[in-house]
Amino acid sequence: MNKGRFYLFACWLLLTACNSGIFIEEFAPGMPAEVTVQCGKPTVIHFANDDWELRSGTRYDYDLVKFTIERTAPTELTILATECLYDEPYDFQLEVENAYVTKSINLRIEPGAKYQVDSVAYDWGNDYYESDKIMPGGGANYTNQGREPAVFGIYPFHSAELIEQLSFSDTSLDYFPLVFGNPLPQIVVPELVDGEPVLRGHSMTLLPSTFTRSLDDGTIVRFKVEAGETLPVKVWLYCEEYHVSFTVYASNTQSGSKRTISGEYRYRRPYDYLFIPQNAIIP
Amino acid sequence: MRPLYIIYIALATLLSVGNLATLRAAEPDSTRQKLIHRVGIDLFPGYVLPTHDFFEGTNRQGEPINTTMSAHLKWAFQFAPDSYFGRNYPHASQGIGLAYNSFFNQQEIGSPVALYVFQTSRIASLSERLSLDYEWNFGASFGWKPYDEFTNDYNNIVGSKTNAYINLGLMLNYRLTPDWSLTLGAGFTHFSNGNTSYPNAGVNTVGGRIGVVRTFGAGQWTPRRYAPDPFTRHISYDLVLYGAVRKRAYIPSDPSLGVLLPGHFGVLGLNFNPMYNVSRYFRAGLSLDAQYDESANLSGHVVNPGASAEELKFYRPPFREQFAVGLSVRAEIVMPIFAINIGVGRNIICKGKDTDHFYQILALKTHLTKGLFLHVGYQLYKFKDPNNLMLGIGYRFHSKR
Repeated sequence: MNKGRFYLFACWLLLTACNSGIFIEEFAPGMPAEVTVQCGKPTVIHFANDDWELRSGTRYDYDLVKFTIERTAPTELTILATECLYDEPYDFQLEVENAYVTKSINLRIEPGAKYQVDSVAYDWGNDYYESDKIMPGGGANYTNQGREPAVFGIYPFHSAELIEQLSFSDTSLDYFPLVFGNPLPQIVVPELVDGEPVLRGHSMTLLPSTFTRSLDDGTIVRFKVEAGETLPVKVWLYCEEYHVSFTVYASNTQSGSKRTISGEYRYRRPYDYLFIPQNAIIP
Repeated sequence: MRPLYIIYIALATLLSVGNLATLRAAEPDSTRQKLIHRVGIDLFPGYVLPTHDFFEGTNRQGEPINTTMSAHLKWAFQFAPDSYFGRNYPHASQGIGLAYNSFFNQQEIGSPVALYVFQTSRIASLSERLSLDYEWNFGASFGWKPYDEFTNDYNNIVGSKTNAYINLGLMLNYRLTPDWSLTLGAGFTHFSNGNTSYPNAGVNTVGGRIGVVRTFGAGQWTPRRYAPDPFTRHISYDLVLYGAVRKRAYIPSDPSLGVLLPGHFGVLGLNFNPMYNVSRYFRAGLSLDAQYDESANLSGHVVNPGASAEELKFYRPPFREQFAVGLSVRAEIVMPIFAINIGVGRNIICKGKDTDHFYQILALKTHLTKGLFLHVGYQLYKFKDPNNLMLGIGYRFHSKR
């Protein structure tokens, strides 16, 4: 009997017996539970074979984070994060699967570069200016219970404030620090010179905000109230008010993306008063 | 049992009986027949051991299955007394047998027919005509009615139409005349498929045996004993390479969810067994046993637990969990052409509960040449639970027989 033929027979017998149909190759042996992704740098996940499909989506384009997941080769998955404006890493559950098993990998996208302001464009053609806006400045009923006429005084600019306001539509307060980082950028806002807006370096922080400054310079108005009378007093303030819309143009040097943010600048300044009744004023 | 294994066993039988008998029978004197032929008929009435409730009455008939009867037709040959085997093994004869077995339950068990090789020899001479002999049978049995969930659902004993057949018996041999003998004795019979199919609980019987043997050609020999050849004690080295297939069940933490995995798994092994030849009948030694079992330690690598048997998938376990190396103590009874090897061992290099255990081996070696032999064996654990077959080929180095 040929010894060689028997050895071959034995090996063939074993090979035909092997139960290869019940075994599958693990497509992700030793796959880490978490993969860190840096903005701007492709991250490649290697698999042991091509028996897998991507269960998650391929493109994620949110306002504060943007990344793509692409099967770049039968055994490779490439993640590219172009932008992550969060201050903390952004976690995303990536899922891959085959006919028998689903695997989850946590993608941890590290924060990337913030935006910077390139320019601010004001819509001068559609601005608004009013010089004689009247608004209440205070008042009260003054009663003289004495037997002689009495002199009272009132500070007409007691409640007068210069107000500057930046407002934005459809943006929350925490949007700006996320997009631009801290400290927030300053934008130049107009000043009114003889009723005309002028840009000459006065700036405000790019944030929905209201800046107020009291204009009470101690001006006092004295008036007389006869004995036993009650005098109703009203003070009106003359204000100048100005509104102008603007657009902030910003860009991200890391991702190359650009954004525009629309807002409005509002300005109001009381500059004079009207005391009523004027005939009660003591010059 | 897979058809390929039947071919293997049949080939072993025919080659061994034909090949080595021819080689060893060639002696200088050509005036007399080289072989003495025998034809025999045996009847084996027996008792089926109630190792499972199927035999105790949980079957379609609702009656215990405890009796069996088999009829055997055998042809054997004995080497001429002046030949090598005739001088050194004067009472050994070996041959082929055909048996018809009945368990009196045709519908659920069937009436399998067994084809086997056998060998018989004398243990002790009790008188001039009476001797105490032993006989072993090994082969395959065909025609079983296996388990079927629809048509044969009570029979969770036999999982295949073909099963191995093993018998060991002791008998009194009374020579009526030089040509005719009567035999009377008892024996134990085992049927199973070596875990190549499930279920495989095994069928075991004990019983008596009665037979008659007609010898042809014994008269030409003068009744004198030829002196055996001198025997030198020595160490020989057996190297065996074997393979097999087996089934495996997957038993999760909840045993009620256990399933039989589809398909068959491969087993491949190597034994290196130096043995001290104590006498021409016996040798013993240690064996280094290495085995790879494709089905070992799967339970820790399930892909989709809870799936059905057909959909269950596994990751291939590390090689370390499917390969084991053990040491066993072996004893071998040596006769013409055949040797029976028995071993008890323990895996030493192993990982996982499927390989971390003791094991037992029962093997039949069939010599094709002085060094080359076929190996048909069975690995068990707990002395009763089958692990896998061991079908292969071996070579003996440094034999001084």
